[in-house]
Amino acid sequence: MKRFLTVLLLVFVTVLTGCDKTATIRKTQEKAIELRIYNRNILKATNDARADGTISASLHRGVVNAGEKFSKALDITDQAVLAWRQLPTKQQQDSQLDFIQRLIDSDVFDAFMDILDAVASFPPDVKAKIQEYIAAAKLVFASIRALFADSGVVILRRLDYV
Amino acid sequence: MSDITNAADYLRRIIQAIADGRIEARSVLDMTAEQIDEYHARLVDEEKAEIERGKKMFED
Repeated sequence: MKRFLTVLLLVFVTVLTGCDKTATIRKTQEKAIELRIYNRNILKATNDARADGTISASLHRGVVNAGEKFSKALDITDQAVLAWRQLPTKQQQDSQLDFIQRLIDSDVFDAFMDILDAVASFPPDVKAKIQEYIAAAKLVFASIRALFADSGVVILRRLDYV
Repeated sequence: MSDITNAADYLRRIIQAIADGRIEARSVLDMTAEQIDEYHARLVDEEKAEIERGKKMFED
């Protein structure tokens, strides 16, 4: 009876851990989608501001280049999430999840910081509009940080200083 | 400013932005996996289109 209960507990924990990782991956995918919404909005507002002559060519170029870098980093994150679903063993999935977290902490977050730098010199009225998207993206990063908080990866500490 | 005050400030600004129609108030949480894939694909297209629009403006 004791042995049966131990086996039952192990099965339960294994299933629970597996479900937890699947939920983490799904939430990561959702957060990456949300970040794309704000990147698209920032790019659109910047292009519109350039079309109106509100911002200079150099300011415009800075944001478009940073937005492209951000987009490419999110492409890689999407591919890494898709790859996670194909991996056959738990060990491989854990390793891939660790890779995804580090990817967000490095490439994705660095590109976001580039956007912040690029919009810093915008005129106040355009900046005010873009700040809403930036604030929303920061909330997404904060929720990603909370999502990965228990994983042991030191993630997104720099967001505190933005 | 504490994290909680920061978060409250972000939330207030976001709620105002949604009310003003400046932010898309669409959640992916209530979509099926298929709808998420479809929405994701459209979003990527729109994002890449804005990047291309921006790059074209460099040339003009």
